[in-house]
Amino acid sequence: MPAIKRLLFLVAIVLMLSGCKDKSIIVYEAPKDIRTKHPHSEASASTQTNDLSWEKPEAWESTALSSFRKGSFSFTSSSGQKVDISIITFPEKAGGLFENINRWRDQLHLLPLSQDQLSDNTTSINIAGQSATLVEMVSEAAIIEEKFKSRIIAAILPDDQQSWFFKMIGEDTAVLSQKETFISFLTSIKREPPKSEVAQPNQEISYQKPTNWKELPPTPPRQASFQVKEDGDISIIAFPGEVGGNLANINRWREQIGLSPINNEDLPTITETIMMGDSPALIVHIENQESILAAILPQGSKTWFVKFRGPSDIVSSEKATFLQFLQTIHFNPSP
Amino acid sequence: MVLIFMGTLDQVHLGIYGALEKYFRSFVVFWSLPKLGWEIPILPGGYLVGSVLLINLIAAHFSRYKPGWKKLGISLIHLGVVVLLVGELLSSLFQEDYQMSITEGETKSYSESILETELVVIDASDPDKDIVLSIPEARLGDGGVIQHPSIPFTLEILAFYENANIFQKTPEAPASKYRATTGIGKNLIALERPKTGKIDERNLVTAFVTVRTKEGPLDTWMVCNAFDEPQHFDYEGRHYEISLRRKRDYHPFKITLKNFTHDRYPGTTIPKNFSSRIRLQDSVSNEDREILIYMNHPLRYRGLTFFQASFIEGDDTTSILQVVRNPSRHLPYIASTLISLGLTFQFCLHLLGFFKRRKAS
Repeated sequence: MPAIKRLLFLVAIVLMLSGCKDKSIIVYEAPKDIRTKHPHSEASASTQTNDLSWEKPEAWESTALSSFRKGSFSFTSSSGQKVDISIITFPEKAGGLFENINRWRDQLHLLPLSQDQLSDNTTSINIAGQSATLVEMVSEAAIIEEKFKSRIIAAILPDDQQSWFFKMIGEDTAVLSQKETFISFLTSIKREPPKSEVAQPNQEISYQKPTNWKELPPTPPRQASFQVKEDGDISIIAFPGEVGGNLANINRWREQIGLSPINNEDLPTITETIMMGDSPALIVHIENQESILAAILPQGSKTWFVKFRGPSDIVSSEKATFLQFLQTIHFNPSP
Repeated sequence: MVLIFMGTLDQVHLGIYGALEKYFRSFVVFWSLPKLGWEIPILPGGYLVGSVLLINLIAAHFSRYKPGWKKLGISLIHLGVVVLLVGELLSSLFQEDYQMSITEGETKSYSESILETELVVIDASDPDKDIVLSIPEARLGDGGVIQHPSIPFTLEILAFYENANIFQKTPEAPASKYRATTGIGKNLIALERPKTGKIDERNLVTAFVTVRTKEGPLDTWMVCNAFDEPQHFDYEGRHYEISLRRKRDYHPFKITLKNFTHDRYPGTTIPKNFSSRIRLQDSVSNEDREILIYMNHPLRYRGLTFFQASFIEGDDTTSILQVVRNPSRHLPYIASTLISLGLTFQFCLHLLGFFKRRKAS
């Protein structure tokens, strides 16, 4: 028995250790992040995230981006040599012009330049209305597969809060063949307002469009979009989870067409349930000068909204078609 | 075998960390019945299998052990296996895994947790250093109000999502219970979604936090680990930053990536080898040296091991180092040594016996 007790005690200890996550709040001093060196206002935060925009030259192919790589392209010469073109941002000066040029020279197995030699090895170029430094270097030895020399053409654009690095690297002759394109690319770059990271939905449904509806290209978060007669608008949207519940969404729609909100008790009086395939969908028809006829369908981990909004006469006349259309919607398995 | 087979197959759905937790770092593996949501136990978990194996091994040793040097090899082998099992248990309980994603020319003095996030409120008023209040996500999940003597206000955690979808706020956007009143989240909505364990998917950990002062609520922020920048506010003459980020582990030394090489087999995108030349600077021990980290040649320093782990596809300048703190990392070596010694001893004993018998005949 004592042995069993000891064993149970050991199991309990392991359970406790494996089940517990540290919830303790701690305070510590830390060196400043480079990017937060210049505080402080929302305005300055938005300046930090200002982006540049560019058009990809035809000869280049887009390649995968990363957290640092804001733009990434490749070019393959007729002899099969690859050239890599990257656009990278770093907070602040990221080590400065001198250090970065010498780091690139080190990559090409070249001796570092002294501060005095820097101006003789760089030129100026205008990028997005600002003066940037252009530098070009070629390896002395054949360092690519021990057969080819490597060349770098790069520009450094110092900004208020971050530095932009535009770098083309690859086999010597292949890089030279793209030099003119690269310079034109640099001078065509423009400044853009900041953007947020937003999830984009995928196409996850199929359906049969009624012949009198006009299908429009869906704009996110819409999965599908139709125009009915002149002013009728139908959208199909999916959001994860219960998205606030039926009442909150119906009240939001009521507000959109100028109606006051209702209580949970009123919900059964303005809704009905129909079957869409194997799943029950809630149908709601709200009428004012404008009408909204909508289906709310929980499907898997998502809730789908098929919403028809337009002048009341159009919505009423197309209601039967809309309900038939709902029966044609098929949910494709998630990729 | 069944456990390993099923755990390996389920990695497709759960990812490596999800499968590890479900199959190998549990006592019982449950299967969730579709639609009903009932949890049915289907397999013993890794902890249970390991514990039974350990008990069986120890029990077998004591029930069959006969004193004498002839069984010394067997005892050493058993002891080695016991150390191996205990080592794995300790690793699963105490090992901490971090990553350092570092780009050429960049200097870092911290690693970031692969799985955990933290809400930080940073007093950034001092131009030379930050005072960081770190609240782990396990505490955020409890919600409620957080008070701490280091801040002159309280934090009310309105909602915490282990994963969320984030959308632009448009007329079509669905109703959302929580809304930010300021910052980048003012124009976004966040909707909770199930946590993912897949390596190629990212959990957008999100929280809605209201800062409450003695004068009343200051503002509500949406914080998310997808936001690159912290959000800012001022109170009582001090400047604060608030953000939800990967949990950081600061080191008393700093690392600069000098050069990252990522060679591929010619004409393919298959990695041939990759290595990071780093500069290690430690102001406490006055160390300042360059080290080359490459596959199977990690840097071991101050209880941490820096492995060359990965790279970012299409980015030949960013290296990803796996940073592991494992207090029991020596145990597998000790176990292997014990097993090797035991096997060698037993082999030599049998060989000697063989020679003796041959000579006698």
